[in-house]
Amino acid sequence: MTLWEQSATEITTKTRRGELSAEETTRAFADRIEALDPAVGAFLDRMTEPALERARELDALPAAERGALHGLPVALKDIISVAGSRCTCGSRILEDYVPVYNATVVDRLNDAGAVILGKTNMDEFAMGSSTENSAFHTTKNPWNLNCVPGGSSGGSAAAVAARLVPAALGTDTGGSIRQPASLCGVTGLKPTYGRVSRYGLVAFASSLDQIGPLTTSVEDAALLLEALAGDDSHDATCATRPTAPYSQELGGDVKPLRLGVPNAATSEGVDPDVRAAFEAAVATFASLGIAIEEVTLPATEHAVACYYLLATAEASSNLARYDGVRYGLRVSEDEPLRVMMGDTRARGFGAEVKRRILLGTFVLSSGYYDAYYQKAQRVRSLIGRDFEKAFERVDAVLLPTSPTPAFRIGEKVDDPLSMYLTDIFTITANLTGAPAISLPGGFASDGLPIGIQLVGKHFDESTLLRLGHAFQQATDFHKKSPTIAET
Amino acid sequence: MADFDEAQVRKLAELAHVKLSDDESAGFAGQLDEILGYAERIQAHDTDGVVPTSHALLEAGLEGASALRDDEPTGSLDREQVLEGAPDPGDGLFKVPKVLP
Repeated sequence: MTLWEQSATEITTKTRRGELSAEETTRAFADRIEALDPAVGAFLDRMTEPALERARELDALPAAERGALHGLPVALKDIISVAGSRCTCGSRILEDYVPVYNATVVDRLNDAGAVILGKTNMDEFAMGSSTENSAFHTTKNPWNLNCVPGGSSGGSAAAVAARLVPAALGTDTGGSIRQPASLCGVTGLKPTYGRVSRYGLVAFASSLDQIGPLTTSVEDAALLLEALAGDDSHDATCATRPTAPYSQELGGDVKPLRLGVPNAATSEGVDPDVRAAFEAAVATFASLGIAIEEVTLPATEHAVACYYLLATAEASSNLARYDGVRYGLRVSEDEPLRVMMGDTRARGFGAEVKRRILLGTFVLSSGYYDAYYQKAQRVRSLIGRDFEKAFERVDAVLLPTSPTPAFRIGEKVDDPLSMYLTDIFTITANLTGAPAISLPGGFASDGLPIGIQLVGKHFDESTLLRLGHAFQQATDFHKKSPTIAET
Repeated sequence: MADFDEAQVRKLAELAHVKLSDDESAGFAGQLDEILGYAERIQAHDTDGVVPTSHALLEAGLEGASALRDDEPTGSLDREQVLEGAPDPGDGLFKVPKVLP
């Protein structure tokens, strides 16, 4: 089996044992990026030289000092800070911004022996579902280069799908790990809110954002989560709860587990191929001896509305810091302060970011705050109650990830509302803080991948990963790769 | 609900410190009107007596979901390094253009 066909777990295990060298592995994936990324456009910045240097250092480490991700090449969504490397967030306003410190997840990857190979493309400030909102270029879906990879972590998903890296990190505020994972046929995990530190992650909507891995299997997602999860004194929203040996718990029996299927999971607006894959997934889980129970989640039909009021409010506040004063772009520098700020933000932000800042400003403005922001926060509580009630009876809930397979580039760019509605199945896990994972669940008639999604109980990533692993033992969708990966 | 006309959009843009072209104001007015029209559906929910969420996990009663560390001074970022990224640093500070026109 050639290197790119191997999982992150296989690669790091062999490298730790000395059967592979970190330098050769890093070189091999850097060569793949060089050869294939011009067509895919997954990366914004490559870090080949520092990565090779780092790999040589890792090769020199004695066996006893080799970490759980020893020699594993990893890509990062370009919203995660690496000291000394620019971090654009897909935006002109941060085009030349260079962080002076590492995100905690970067330190944890480094401590575990991973090799950071580059920064991936994304919708500007993680706002979008197609990666078309990047200020720099559009990433293509490796399964069909005329289609979007999803978003906002579209670069990370496309990079893993084309096997340009064995694993990547993304961020998920309303589905931005899971939806591109679904559209690109890879595994994407959004951990519980607070499970992974966000120190050094550029904030979009702070009550919703979470960092997580995109990989080719659940086994690899567990391996990455184990390295990333846990308390961090730099992030007060990071949970102090103990983590679990996620990768060791995968083989556990899933038979006593119960899976909830919402009665309206495949209602109108869901593509027939997605519906078929979803129903097949229910049957697969049932064949594993898992009890299937119908659950009702009535408040979730308002989740998209609730989300776009809250996320934009938080974004308008978080993005106020980009004003041409402390870092990033400054234009009209000879004009008075207010003019300089208004012009800087006009030039630095793209249309979707402006649209959301305006909506968020409205939602928080005097006279509308109670009717929109407060009301949405109350509806959010009701959505949480729906899931709490469901989780009294079941261990996880099965949903589609995206209502459709990948759509064509340009298809939805002029229709923001229809783009927002693609998040309909992913948003609830962000609003409730629950962990959720998207798994490859089949293919549409035109060959595009389809994802299915498991939503778990707070901090119960173990059960989610066990269920996902059991599904991947019974299916081989996650083992398929697009033709472009084989060239 | 609020009518999203261009004047409303311009007022919001001023509050948010974003200069918009006339074309942008017109485009955003239509789009924001449509998005907010969709979001109106949350008004149909009876939320009397429902506490608004500010932290999803703490409201669910989960312990250990968040923590404040002891308030002890620790090191912070290097001032010179931080100022290197500023558009106009000077005298160890961030400089801004004149405030009054």
